[in-house]
Amino acid sequence: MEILSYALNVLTFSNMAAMLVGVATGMIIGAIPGLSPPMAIALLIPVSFQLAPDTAIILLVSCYAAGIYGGSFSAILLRAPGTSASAASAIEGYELTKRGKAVEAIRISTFASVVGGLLSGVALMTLAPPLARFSLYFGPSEFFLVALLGLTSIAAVTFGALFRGLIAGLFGMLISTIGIDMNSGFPRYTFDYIGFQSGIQILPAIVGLFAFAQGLELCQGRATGTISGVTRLSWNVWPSFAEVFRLRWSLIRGWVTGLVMGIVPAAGASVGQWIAYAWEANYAKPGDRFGRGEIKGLAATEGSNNGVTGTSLIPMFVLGIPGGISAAVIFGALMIHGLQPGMRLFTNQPEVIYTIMWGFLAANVLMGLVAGVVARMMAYLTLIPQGIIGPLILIFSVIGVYAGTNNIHNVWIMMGFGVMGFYAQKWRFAPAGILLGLILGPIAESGFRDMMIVSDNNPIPYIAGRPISVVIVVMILIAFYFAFKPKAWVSVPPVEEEDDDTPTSDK
Amino acid sequence: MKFKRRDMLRMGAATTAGAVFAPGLIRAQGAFPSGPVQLVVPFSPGGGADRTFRLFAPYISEELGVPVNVINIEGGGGWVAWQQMANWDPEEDDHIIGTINFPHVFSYLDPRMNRSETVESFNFLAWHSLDPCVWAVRHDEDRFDGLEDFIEYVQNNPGEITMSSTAVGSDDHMGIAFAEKFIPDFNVRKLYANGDSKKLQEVIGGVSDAVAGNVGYYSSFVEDEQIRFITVLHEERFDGAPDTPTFQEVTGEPNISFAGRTMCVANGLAEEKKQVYADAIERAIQNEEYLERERANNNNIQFMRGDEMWNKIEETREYVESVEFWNEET
Repeated sequence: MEILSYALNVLTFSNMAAMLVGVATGMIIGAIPGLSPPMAIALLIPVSFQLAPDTAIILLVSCYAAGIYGGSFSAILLRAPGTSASAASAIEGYELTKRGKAVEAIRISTFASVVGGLLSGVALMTLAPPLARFSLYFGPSEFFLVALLGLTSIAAVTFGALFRGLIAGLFGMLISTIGIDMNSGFPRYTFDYIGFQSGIQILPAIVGLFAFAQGLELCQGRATGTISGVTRLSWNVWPSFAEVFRLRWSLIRGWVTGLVMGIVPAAGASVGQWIAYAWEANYAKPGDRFGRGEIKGLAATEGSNNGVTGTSLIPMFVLGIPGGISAAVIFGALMIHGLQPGMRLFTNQPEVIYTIMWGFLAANVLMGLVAGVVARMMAYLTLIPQGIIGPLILIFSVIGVYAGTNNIHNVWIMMGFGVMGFYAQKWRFAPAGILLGLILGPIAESGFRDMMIVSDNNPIPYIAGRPISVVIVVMILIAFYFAFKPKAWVSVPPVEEEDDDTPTSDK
Repeated sequence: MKFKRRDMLRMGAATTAGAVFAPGLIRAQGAFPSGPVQLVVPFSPGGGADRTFRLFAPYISEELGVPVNVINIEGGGGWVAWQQMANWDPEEDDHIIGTINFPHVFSYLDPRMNRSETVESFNFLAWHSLDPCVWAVRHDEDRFDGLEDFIEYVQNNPGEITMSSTAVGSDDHMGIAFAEKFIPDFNVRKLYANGDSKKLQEVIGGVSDAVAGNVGYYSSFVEDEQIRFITVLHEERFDGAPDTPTFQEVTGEPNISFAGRTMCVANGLAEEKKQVYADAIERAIQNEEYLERERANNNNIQFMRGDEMWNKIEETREYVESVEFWNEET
């Protein structure tokens, strides 16, 4: 095993230091709504100039993995997801926090993320070339169908209010059409407002729908009350074996979804978590508390969003085709350091590429250790009175979006989504449904239009002739079956009503 | 408990203050520039423009003697930032350099955009780089060898060939639109993308038959034997792809399209300040270490100032006007 021989290269002082800097930067920037992992990575690029190529890239991939994980902190503790990859974790994670189980939620999130990242890293190291070839089979029909599959998960986030959830999803798709149409150059629904010309960006929409709306919600409550109602936090920052064993299937479903979706170009990272969540909800048993703080749902979403991290780098490393923005930034850094991504990188400079991959694995372990130390400190956020934390979330949403995009129009758009999210949540129009429509609308649209072009307006035979498309169609049909099947967990009282267990500190 | 809360707040305040004031490595009074300079990139991190200027920033910084920080002002297909650049105040905004992409900025010629700014609205410093457009096919493509066969194939098999291109109005799209306008019976089906990843995925994965991109970005894929170039849309054979014939060489039509990057400052900025920036850029662009990094990046640096730069801008305008892409699709 030649690969194993590169493992020790990681343990140099500079590589370890780079990893620590990357993990710390990623976790902080990832946790702030509006500041995204690609931005964190871009900020580190000038720093990386001075470093050896492998150290430089280890710095960036560490930052990437930790950025995705860091976003979950704010999603779970404050329902203010720091990144688009952690939006699904806000649903169950925050409900758990509200029930005083913040530390429990974070330790499961950490475990799911670290192991997900490790598995993804192993896949990156061992299966990169074949998986990269697999990613090339994705064409217009596959993108269209993956988007449809993602849309079916709206059913899982509506908690009984299916019809309203569908309206929310369609509304999201409608606003996703805003902006200059790339096929004609025609400005659609822009009303000559410059802020609409590039379309609605996902980042301000997420910050608005979740973080800003949450800030408004907290400002509405009693100023001295706290999110969780507890006064003490658990000291159990490491998960027990029994706990992990109990969640094993949820975790595995999350990891598998993440690993597979990571390879899907462009759509993977943001869609995987929702598919994982929907899959989990479909397996719900009577007594599960989906929508009211079900740890199984959180384990799945957290497993999937970090399960994506390694495999999503595969097309970038092997083919030179970055599948997402973070991968694109890392791609740029590779080029700057004279490492041309592609198969030749594996044959000509295996010592560099495998050191980077080992670095990615080590960074995930380090991330877990750092998280163990800071998790409980972070959870103190939930003990801060609402009268303080609510306005702080509002302020950070504005600062984050402005700092992240330097575009004041995005701040207005974010606030618009904030008000929308506030009322959507109140009237049960599933803010997550709006988000799904917004993310998946453009993928579905361009996939559909491209599919019509390449199939000469004959999509059915075209789809039938492409094996991956057929598999996705089957998955969509299964998802539809579950979406309309009466659910065990929907028969429980709706979200607003108080449930039996009063908030307690988690033992 | 109370103590901890206060502690948390203090930590928060310290973090915020740190984030706000950290870049303020202020230099001695009197010298210009007297503090950090911002370099505005009108697109998101990870894009071509962002990569180019993040690579360049430390070298300008070395010449100016102050930090140069890249900031991304996204939105409006570049226009959120460009609108600001056109309205920068020469006194207040004297520590900020903008970047403008060609032919991208000529999107204002499209009457549907209702834009009031023109190229005359900007105070250009210098032309920084130029990456010619190129057409490529899969490495193992056997239906056509070069551009001549390709055109012939398209003419003989109407509606069969699909090309991947960046969105309407981009340099890639204009190259195709020019060919469709001036080469008889040349019509291809087009798949549009917002970036190179989707286009490469399509052509390498066999969804499309050819792709329009830029030499710099695509060279590594040629070296990797995933694709091969059939023509370059340049005035003469290009150093980065010396064996690839130009479009004009094969067809006689001057199809010259490229991604160009320029830099600008506030309108009315004092001439001596502008000179400081322009000289620093000119020196930075000759830095051997920088050039080596750019070569690794396959980026073609092409420095131009004054009349030479304005001639290039004029030529580009004429090309865009000849293509009139806004009339094409409607």
